[in-house]
Amino acid sequence: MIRLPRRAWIRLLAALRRLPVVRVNDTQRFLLLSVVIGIGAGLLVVIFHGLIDLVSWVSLGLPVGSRRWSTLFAPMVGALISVWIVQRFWPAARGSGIVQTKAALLLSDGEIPAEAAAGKLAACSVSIGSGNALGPEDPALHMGAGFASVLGKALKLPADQLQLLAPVGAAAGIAAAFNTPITAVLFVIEEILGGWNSATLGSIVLASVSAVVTSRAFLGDHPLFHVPAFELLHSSELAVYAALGLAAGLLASLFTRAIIAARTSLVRRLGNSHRYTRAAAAGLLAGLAGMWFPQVMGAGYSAVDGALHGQYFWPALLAIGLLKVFVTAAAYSAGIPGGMFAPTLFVGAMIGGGLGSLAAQFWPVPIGGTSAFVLVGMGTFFAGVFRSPMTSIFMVFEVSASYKIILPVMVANMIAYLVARRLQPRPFFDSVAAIEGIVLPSHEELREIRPARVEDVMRSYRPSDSIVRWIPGSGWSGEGGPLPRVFPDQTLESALPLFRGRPALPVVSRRDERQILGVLHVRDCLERYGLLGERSGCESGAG
Amino acid sequence: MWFRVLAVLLALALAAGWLTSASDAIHQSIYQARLADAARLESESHVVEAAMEFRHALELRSDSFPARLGLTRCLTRLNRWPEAQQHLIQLRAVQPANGPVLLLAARTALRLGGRAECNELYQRAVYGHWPEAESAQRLEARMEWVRFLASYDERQALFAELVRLTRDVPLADVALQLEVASLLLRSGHPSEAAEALRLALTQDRKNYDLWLLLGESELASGRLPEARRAFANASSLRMDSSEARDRYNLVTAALVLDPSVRRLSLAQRESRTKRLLAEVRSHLDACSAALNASAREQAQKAIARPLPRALEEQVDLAEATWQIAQRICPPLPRYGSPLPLVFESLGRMPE
Repeated sequence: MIRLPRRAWIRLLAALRRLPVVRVNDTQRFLLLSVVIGIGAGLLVVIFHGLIDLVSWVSLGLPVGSRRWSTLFAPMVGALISVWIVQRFWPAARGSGIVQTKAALLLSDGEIPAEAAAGKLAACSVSIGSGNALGPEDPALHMGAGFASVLGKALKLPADQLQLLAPVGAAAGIAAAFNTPITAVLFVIEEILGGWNSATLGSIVLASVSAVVTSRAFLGDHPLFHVPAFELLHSSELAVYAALGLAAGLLASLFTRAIIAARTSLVRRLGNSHRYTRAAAAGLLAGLAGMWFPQVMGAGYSAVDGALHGQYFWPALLAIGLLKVFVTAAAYSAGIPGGMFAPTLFVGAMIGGGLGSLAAQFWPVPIGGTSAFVLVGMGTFFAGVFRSPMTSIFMVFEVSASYKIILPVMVANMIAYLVARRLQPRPFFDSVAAIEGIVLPSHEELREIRPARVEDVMRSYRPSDSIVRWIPGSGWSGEGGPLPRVFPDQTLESALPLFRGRPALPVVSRRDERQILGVLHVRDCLERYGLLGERSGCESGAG
Repeated sequence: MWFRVLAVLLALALAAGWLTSASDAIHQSIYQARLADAARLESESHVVEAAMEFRHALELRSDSFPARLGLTRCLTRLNRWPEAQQHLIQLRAVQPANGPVLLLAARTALRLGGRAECNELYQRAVYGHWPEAESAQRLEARMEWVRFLASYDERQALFAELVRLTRDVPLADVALQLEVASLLLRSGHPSEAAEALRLALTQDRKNYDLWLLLGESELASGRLPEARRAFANASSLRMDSSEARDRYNLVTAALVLDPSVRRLSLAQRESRTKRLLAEVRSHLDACSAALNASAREQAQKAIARPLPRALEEQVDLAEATWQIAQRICPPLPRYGSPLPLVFESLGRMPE
């Protein structure tokens, strides 16, 4: 403690009072809030990691699998406790967290109760720490969004700002959990928001960065995986990557279908009863698998690191990957709280490594190391299951920190994405939400819907001079100012507010505003949206 | 309200700090135990179990350099070269000049077929950084490198490194001195080999192998009296060794025939020269029986040449006859007869 005489204290306080008061506008305050959310979410994730570690140490021993009988029974006990926590105290904490965050964003203005975040922290620490084959990223995303929502409510932010905060917190949570800020930003944009939103982009980036910095300050600066360098030795190797994309796409759709089928049948047949029996059975399955393959327990990132370093041969890689599919599907469909992000990466890594290692033996020309196939496999399977192709590409790029991988990952991911989409049209989380009775809009579909444009509805003829003279730039003006004009590529949605009681608007060229291309009639617009039964008399009306 | 937010963040930070330090402490203690177990198992040559323990240590601390290095060592001993290579890439990224790492990288490159890379890696390993405790292994690395160079007949680099090694190998390490001298001899540098061996003999004068190799080195250098002395010493140390005795007899026979030996009287030189000429003629006569007609005629002509009067001319005649014998007869084994040794010795004499 610094000891100063009393007079010095008085002078110091006076000097502080004389400092100019920094006034911040709403945008600046929102950005500042994003940093705070990033720090808070980062701290929550650090606590989450610590709890998972402690539970894992107590229940399974370190490293995982070192105590045989604990390995068999700990996942079952953990599954029962976590389901009990959710059932008894925090029902809002069920599921992986992504569906719940999306639902909160779309259905309740981004409002997530504090109980959801607290419940996720408690229940998922137990379920994942005890070895159930689920991951911490999706719960971290939900916790981050929950923290942001609670903070927004405490600061009495208006509803529109509160809605913007949830994705900011979600990005911070996943960035801290996966230690990859770019991936987090893209994942939230693709999966949670469903598109670019300039209002929140800066905040999402800021929150992600501050969350990663915070978590690294506590957990250390080492990356999640230690990725060895690799080379693309021959261009024909791309064919192997394409085959990997095909296989991952097929497996991703099977994986999604298996989980959805299991969950649907369980929900239909048993409803809310036998929750504990289901959880115990899934936990026991994880324990049995873990007795022989402890790699499938928990998030399994150390096994992925082993695969990256060529620890396993292809039969072991494929066996571990397929076993993880079963164990994860059982855990998720049984309602054990935990995420799908890590298991998806795990399965992809093992399948990719297995195929790469197989190709290294039988491909006619030498191919690069299997570590590249492990990484690309992670991305392809992720693209197939989550339908977030951009996130998957940048995730591999960010994890590997290598530009050389971008070509194989793009080829494989796109093939996996297209194959999975063809075989399983509805994305994973949309299907899961539907089983829960929530109908969420599909971001994937929204991305592909082409909005109606003026050129689709306009009539191509020159309007009468009475209209022309009201067009800006035509040299005429009169009562009410110049007539608003629209452009052919403008969306109908943006054109509609410009009518303001007028029956029609001129459509002008963007190259030359004086050049009139046609007329947009209000009736045609209404007809386009199905609000008029049939074309009316104004068809002839014109201008 | 902002103060409350700050208070919440502070509370979260405290909780995170406590949990992280608790988790770190657990990890650290288990990690240390695993690492110690792994090192013990490795030293007891339980390599598979040691590799498993190193893997467990790495799971607990993925940035641990000693655990990764230990695992890589075990993997090379288990012939799991591709996996070892992946770990080595990472180890080299962390410590690019680490001698033990580069040595493992060289061994791995050799197994995976990268000969040029292997040579470079050996060189970098030898001149890289070696931890104090492992400095003895640096010498082993150098020996491994020279063996590699010898096996691929990289003469220039081999000689340069061997000469440096003769200075750096501890005199007390007679076995290593012997190996260095042997490699020098095999790579065509008998004088340097003999010098190294003489130095080693100052430490252990009763070492049979040192004397025998010294004899071979002196013999290869054409110093027959010194070779005979070395072979005599070797024979006296191991009476039952036919190798040293045979060499001794051969060199003695060569010395008896050699007219160029110092401190001989003129009469002795003349008598030796005549005896040498007679031996060569007899060898040529013996081999000519199996030759074709023209070669036999050539041999007979050489044998029939009259003996000149002057001693130097007699020596010249003996040499000319030997050259004809070498040209037309099947070659004599170098150490199968004293004749090649005597003529080599004569050839080295100044004109």
